[in-house]
Amino acid sequence: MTLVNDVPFDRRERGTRKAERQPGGAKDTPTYYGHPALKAAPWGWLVWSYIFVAGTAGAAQVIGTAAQLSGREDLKPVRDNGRIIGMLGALAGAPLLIADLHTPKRFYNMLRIFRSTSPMSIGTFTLLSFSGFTGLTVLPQALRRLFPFWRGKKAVETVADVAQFPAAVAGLGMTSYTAALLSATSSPLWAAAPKELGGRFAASSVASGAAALALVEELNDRPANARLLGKLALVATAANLVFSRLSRLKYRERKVEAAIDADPATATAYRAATVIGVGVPLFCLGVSLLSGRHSRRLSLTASLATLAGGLLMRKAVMQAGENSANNSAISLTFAREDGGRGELPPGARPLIPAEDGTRRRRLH
Amino acid sequence: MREMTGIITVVQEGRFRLVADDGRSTLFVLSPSARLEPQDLTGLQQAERRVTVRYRDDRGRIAGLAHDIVPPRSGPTRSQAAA
Amino acid sequence: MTEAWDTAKPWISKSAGMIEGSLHPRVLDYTDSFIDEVIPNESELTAGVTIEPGKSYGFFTDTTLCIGCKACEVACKEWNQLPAEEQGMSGMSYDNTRGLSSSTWRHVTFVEKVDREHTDDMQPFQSNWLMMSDVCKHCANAPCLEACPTGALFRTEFDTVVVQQDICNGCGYCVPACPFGVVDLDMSDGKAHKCTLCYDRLKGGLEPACAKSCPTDSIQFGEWDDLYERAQERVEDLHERGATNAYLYGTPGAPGATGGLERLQAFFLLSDRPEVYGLPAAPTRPSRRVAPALGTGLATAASLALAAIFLFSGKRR
Ligand code: SF4
Repeated sequence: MTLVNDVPFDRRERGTRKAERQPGGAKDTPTYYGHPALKAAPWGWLVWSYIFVAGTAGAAQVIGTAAQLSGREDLKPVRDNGRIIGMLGALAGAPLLIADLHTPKRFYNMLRIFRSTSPMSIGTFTLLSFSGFTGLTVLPQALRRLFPFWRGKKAVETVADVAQFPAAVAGLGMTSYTAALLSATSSPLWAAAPKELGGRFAASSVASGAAALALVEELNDRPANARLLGKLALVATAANLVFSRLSRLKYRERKVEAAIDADPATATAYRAATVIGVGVPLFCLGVSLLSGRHSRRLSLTASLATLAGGLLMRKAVMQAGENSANNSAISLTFAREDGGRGELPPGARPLIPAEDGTRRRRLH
Repeated sequence: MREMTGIITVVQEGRFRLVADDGRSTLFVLSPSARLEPQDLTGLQQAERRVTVRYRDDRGRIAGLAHDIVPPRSGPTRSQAAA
Repeated sequence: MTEAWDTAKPWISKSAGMIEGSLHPRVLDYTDSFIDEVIPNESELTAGVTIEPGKSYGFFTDTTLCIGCKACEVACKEWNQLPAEEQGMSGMSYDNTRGLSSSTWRHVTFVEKVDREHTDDMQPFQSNWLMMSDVCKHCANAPCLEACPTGALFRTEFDTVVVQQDICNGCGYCVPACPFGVVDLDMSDGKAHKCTLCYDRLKGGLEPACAKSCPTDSIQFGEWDDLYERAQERVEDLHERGATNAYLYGTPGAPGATGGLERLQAFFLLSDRPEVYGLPAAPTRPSRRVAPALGTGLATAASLALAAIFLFSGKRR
């Protein structure tokens, strides 16, 4: 057992630093020695990776459904690969989430209740239904592999085609509920722009889903399909750009922007995510489209950049949100207007300089 | 992993106090990997039976992190048996 | 004696069998220093309130009475068997505790107002120091509870908010949900922890440990409506005595109970801006943001799905 006196001096020394006010927020917001007024989410790479995986898998199933609806024979591979990507995402998603729990053996307690105010609960059941329906959609492909001479595949195929629609609905949820998960917290950066974050995650997810599918089509020498998916990725990336700009404006307005630049890692990740996930694909796909000729190299670059950028964006948003919670200047400034405070009692009002040089409390 | 043998005297949620055979009392926190659950601790406390706690130091806090609670590894000392 | 008692604790509830201006009659049954039984309904003797399930309880923390003795911190740790942290010196006045955490459920803040410009602005009490014993607010619309996907966080029969340790799986979502930075994940035992408003003591008819130990009655425990009435009287009294900065935090319509939070079961009387104590002036209920985020997301994804259907509806078959 360690007693206080047994603690090595250097370890005690580390605690011997006064918390200091960090940059950000409004200058006239006092803080309590700069000590965090909120607690940051205790999540790591497992969660931001999951957000990316869930979004990509969900979007792949949505796009696959669009391919199925078109009834085009040449788009059948897109439908089938959408199903596979969806399944891979579902298979990876659950372990990522369970591994992130701090008492993983009790993961099943998530299924005890459903709570509509909790995106974590909404997400549990979204993932569950997405996995179930996606499982049905991949049955024909799995059976074809496992039992080549088995007849009665027709019935299974009908089941898969029907299950495709609920899988797509759950897939839509997978692209977006994670934005609600972050927004419905008190971490200022996440709470500052819920709508913009929703649009951003959804658009980025569809771009990633289209990019993943385009990658597969390109590698299987179906350039026409890859080109079609590239167009979809372009539209989705443009939407992502719009929502990113809008959220940036919101962050500035709500004075939480400093959380992005709070540490070099986050600042770099945030910028890199925009350059790689938005800039590079827009350039590659744009050039390819305008030139009228399909370039395999540009298509592959765009797909890989979209995927990498999507992953990086989730990481950057996650870190920036945690920074904003740890910075009391930002969080206390944010919470000053957040609740629509109305009239503050005199004691709670800021001090203002009086003519005689002293500072007095504003009376109204 | 270290061991301490004694009687569990107080239980709160997943935390418990163990009075060791030498009379010193130590606070433990139940690790999530332990086979026991917080709700099992009350039973042990009420039974007042000697147990051995296998633990590590809980970093940054003055408590042990209990990984397992097992039947006592050693008998009571002679003076205790006499008492 | 009668007189003194009356002026010292004019706010003591008269409803719980308290004889006006005197001790509770049952006090005379327990005059020994050592009592070998639990006093039935002890809270009647110590807080003037009978604890019954189904009623709404809370804390009224009057910071103008706090002397920073940290008896509440110690009593809380002791009763709840919370481990001590090895924290060293913080450099934040006498506050080496720094904040609430998974193993600290009461925390006394120390604000030294030595700024010359403030002196004419200060009230004579607390000699230019502000102290406040912070705690979980047990919000009426508790964001932690609304965020909890397992139902581990629940509202008790005393209208308080508690984490059930046998259910919590340590997902950590309640942590960023709390607008006051209270609930915390213990990385050692993998579960969320926070003040339970001494749920076990309430069930046994005892006043919460912090309130019982508070020597100045800065922390008062009682039925919420009673406390609110007392608090309003206290503010009026302070205003009359010239301390016009005093105001309530966490009562309906006041700072702290904003943005859909309605009211805090544990509310405070403050005499400076909430931020000075590290409290948010106008927090919100995070669940309000579920619909905007999810709605915009779903609409965006659905529009892009339509774009895909449009793109795919080309000529080739
Ligand atoms: S203050 Fe935080 S931890 Fe306490 S009830 Fe409110 S949201 Fe939950």
